[in-house]
Amino acid sequence: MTVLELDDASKFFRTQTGLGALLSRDQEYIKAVNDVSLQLDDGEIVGLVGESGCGKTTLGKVVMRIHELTDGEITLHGRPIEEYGRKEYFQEVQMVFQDPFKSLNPQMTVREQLAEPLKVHGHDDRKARIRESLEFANLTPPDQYLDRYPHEISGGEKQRVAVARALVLDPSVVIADEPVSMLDVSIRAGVLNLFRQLAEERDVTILYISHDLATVRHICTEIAVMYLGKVMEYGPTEQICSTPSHPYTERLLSATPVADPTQDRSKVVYDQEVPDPVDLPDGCFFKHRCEFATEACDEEEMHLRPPAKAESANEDWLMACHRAADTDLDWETIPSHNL
Amino acid sequence: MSTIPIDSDTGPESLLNSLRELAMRPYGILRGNRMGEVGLVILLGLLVMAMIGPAIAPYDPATKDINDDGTLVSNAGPSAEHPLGTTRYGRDVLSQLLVGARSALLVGFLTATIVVVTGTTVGLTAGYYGGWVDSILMRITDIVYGIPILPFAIIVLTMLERSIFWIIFMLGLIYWRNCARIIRSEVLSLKENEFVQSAETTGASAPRIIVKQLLPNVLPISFLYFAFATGWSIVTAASIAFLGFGDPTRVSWGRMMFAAWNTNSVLQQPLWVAMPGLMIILTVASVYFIGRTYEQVANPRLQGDS
Amino acid sequence: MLLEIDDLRTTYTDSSTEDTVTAVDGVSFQIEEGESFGLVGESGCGKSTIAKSIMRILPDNGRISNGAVRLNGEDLTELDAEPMRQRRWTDIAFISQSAMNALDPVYTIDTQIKEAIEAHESWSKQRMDDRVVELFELVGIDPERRHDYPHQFSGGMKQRAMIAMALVLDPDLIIADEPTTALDVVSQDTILHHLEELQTETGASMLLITHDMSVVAEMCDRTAVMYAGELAERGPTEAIFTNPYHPYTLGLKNAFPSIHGGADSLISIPGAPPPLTNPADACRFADRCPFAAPECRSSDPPMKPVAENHDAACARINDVGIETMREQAATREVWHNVDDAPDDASGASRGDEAASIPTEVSGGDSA
Repeated sequence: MTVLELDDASKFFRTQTGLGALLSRDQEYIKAVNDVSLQLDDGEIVGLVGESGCGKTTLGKVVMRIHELTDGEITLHGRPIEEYGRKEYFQEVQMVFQDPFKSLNPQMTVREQLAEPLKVHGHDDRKARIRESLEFANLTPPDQYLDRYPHEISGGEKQRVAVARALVLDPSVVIADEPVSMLDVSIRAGVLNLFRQLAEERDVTILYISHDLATVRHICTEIAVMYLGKVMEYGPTEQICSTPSHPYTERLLSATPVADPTQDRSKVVYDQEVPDPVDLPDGCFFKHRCEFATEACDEEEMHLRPPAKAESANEDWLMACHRAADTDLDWETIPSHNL
Repeated sequence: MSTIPIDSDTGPESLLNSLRELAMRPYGILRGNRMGEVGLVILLGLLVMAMIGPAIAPYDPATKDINDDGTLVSNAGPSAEHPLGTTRYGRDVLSQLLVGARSALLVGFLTATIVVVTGTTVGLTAGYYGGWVDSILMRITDIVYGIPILPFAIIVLTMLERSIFWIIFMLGLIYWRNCARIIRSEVLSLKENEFVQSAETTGASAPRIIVKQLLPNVLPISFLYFAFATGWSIVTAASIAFLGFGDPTRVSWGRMMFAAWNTNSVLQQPLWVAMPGLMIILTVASVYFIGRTYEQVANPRLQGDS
Repeated sequence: MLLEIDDLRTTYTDSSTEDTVTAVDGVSFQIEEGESFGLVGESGCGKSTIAKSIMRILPDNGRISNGAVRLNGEDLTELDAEPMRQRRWTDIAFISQSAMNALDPVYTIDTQIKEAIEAHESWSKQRMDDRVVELFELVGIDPERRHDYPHQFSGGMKQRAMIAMALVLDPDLIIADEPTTALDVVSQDTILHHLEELQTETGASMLLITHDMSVVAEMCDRTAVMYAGELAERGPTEAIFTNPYHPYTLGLKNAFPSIHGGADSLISIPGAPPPLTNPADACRFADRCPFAAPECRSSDPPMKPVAENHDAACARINDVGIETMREQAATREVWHNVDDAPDDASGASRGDEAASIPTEVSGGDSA
């Protein structure tokens, strides 16, 4: 069942604000999120990946109502999100942030941090909920953590507290913005497994934002690849990572270092810089760096379409490439990562 | 935590509880730091002096001591009867000093309270809301910055009346400016922390976020300004008194210095001027030590070290 | 042999409590000419401290209390401030994680690079300019952009500009401390590519410090794995990955998701490194190690050869058998059944951050 749906969602930022905006004639916009359509079902862990500046974090913030949509629609359980009252919405959608050091209030104990959302929403059974959240997040025994301050616990524990806090309201959607990138590698697995448990055991829908493809491949059921505000590809993780897919996705995959010294991976180097987000090219944004680009790439809109080789017309796999349906194209020349 | 009643969002009990609990923190911060402890001891001593001063003063500060032959015991040096000597008019300097503590600390603490409450509120509000609220509040702050204290004080006191409460009110009216700016600055950087965003995404109202999330984090700065404001206001009040605009109905250190100067008794009876001066220095020093200790706490690098 | 670290011990002292943290406790390794050496470990293990000890840019409360750092035979720890300053930039260059933030926003990149040159050499303006152009080409930035200001460069470009600056005087040794951690995967790749090329072109040696094992796997000839101030294992990179010996290395390998990997369980190592104040004479990893025995807690195992050119500091390898160790380390249960280690416990209240004393450089020049 679809829980969260984005329909041509766009978020534009003005480059000039204040008086400058009033005075200038041409308004320049950064199209941080550009006509994005996605469907997230319950129990799915959807990875949102891309380079820095691709819009994935902005998209997360738009879903969190930290930014307002410029255009398009986002619906939760079928209702447009604007129709929800703020509290009502946040009962359903919660976020886990990247920096464990900054996402907890240094002056509040763990108990207080977890109690806050419950108090705001008027829940009386706080004690039980707090304990349950802490236990789910593997912060056991809970009593050991309740009265601690953030500076008294480790980075991994802080992030677990952040997850526990997000869970205390029992949301149906959790947006995780690079939740493990600031944690030591040896403890990431623990936090990652929490997300997996959330999806598998509680049917929570997770939007997992990250630039680390290796991690995303590990826990996400679906992946959406973004580039300059647009979704370039969307589909099941295995399909995207193991069979040749969108040229940009392939570039990302091949840019990921491999922990195997016996392999000699040739590194990805772009001659051109990423296009200026304010001055986007016509047609496909990726055409300057794409080895399959043709003249048509200057005009064709970047709509998501199913690739030709999706044998079973697997409609959940989409690519923003007008050549996706092109059976003549020698996709095999794109290196695949099925090893 | 168990005293916090179950309530809904911004219930007054919940917020008051938070404030009450926060007020207990300053003491904890001072302990364990030598400078802070010294400052605290001095300040407590002065506080005691302020409270019981009039009770233990050997004489009524206004009583003139008359010799057997009918002349005033004027500008006398230290003696058994008058450990710090007498004023030009035969009044006991020690008694005046003890009683004067009261007005000094009254000015200091009351002004500091006004300063901190106003400054913190303005800083938090401007910093968190931003936009036009921030613009308006900051422009008001800028205007207040432009007001020169002593001339302003002199004019107002001349127009109204020379009462200690007007002095407190005026100084409070002006000295909050620094506190507001600094706290606003701190709030601007705190806002960038994800825990604030997290609170926003639980649906907490702005006042709740300000009190529960931001206030505890800016409190060390507020304490710092309490300390500074105490010092500034005591010195300024003394200056005002020294210039002759102080409250004539009250004994104050500044006024003592004014009187000594006015009667050309400085060289004859230096204690009359030096002792109140020393008390002012001690008060300001103690407040400075305490302030510095809080400053160390407010420094984010040191915050969190047990 | 270009660089020899000989039993290096570096400590930080907390001035208010007089506590001493031994961030680096008896570390030894060597880097040959033209070799790329990886130092891998997690936060707080001391790897950055080694870099700062070599460069002698430790903060005021840090000092090298023992050991030697020999560059071309000369012990850098014995040099006075001025001769050491001369060695920096000319013989050794340092690229830090946040190097891109070290650029002064009010000067052009070109000016800043020339400033670095002028601090050590007196070249003609033309010569300096030629060098800047040459370096920009080496790092893949259009030389015309050398007159830009830092804010006009992207994060990846700034980092490359810093690499260019580090190489300007053709140093023998480049120390790169987490050079790509703050960047996304594509920028990272570009930088790693250029670092590789630069190394080949200039013949410089590189000490690459990172927590990312995949970066080390791709870039380094030899690797040392560091844990809680000591080296756990040291050897050719290939050997460390294909035939690891130390339990920590085994655990670390399993904690890394691979882009090729399936969705098999990632294993985390519960627990945290011990605090480094007054380190005991015991194996630092014992509390988290599934193979620990009483002997591990009574004395700190020294580095011993386990294969050709390959050393590990573990007393249990012979007793348990390396094959058994590798087999068991691949299972989740064996790590979670370790007695003293509740999940992610924070130990003595510090947890992942083993050193509570600030380790950022607050003093010391680096030019």
